[in-house]
Amino acid sequence: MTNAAAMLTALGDPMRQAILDRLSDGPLAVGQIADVLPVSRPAVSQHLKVLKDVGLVFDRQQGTRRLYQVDPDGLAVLREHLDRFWERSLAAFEQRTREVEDPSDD
Amino acid sequence: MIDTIESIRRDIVVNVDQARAFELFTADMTSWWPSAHHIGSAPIEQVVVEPREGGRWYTRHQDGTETSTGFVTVWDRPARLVITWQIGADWKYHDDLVTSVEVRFVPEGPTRTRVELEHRDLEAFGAGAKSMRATFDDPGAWTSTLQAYAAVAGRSS
Repeated sequence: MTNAAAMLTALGDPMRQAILDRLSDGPLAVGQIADVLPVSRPAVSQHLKVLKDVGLVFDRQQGTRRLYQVDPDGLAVLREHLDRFWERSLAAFEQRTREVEDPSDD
Repeated sequence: MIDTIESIRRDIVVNVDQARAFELFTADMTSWWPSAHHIGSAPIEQVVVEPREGGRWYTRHQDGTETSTGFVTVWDRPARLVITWQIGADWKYHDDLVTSVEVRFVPEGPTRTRVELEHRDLEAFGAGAKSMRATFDDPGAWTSTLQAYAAVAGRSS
């Protein structure tokens, strides 16, 4: 699976989308996330592990707490994935306009 | 950071007139859409863009099933088309995950057209998120999100 596909799969879970959304406002510890979402701390930790594994969040130790935050490079990968999709599609579209206008060419 | 994913912008010049370019892009999408790029259970039979505002953009598959991609929000033949792309992170269609694809057909000569494509509102991917939060807070809340979106999407740019 490509990075982008792995990210999209990871984000397929509504709770992980919600967690990522919370993190988009700034770094948070596991407990802070569990306080505002209807999910247990162990579950939050599991979701964060998935998000971290695909590169959407990263963590760092601050004193006694571990803080999680959005990895801005991660969403850039998703964007690149779509960008390449449109590049391929428009090239195919351009090719199609040639075929229908010049059927004798091939 | 998550709120500012730059739009995707691509353009290409085709050697057909504006009306023909628009026609091929919309009515003949099946012919150029990457065949592997679908979210259905069977290969693509037809990619359909219903030719009107509010029309559906969907794929009919060879097993008879259909999968939705989005809706037409601007149908300004032959100059401009805006369709929503509502395929989420999980490769499924979502009512409340709305990104937009705007396509402009700019005449550059009698038989030459520049096709400019912009795929925007991409932050929705990172945070299906805003609407997800609304869903937790109020089951009906995302409707207003969609209405707000429709107002923006209908505005000419």
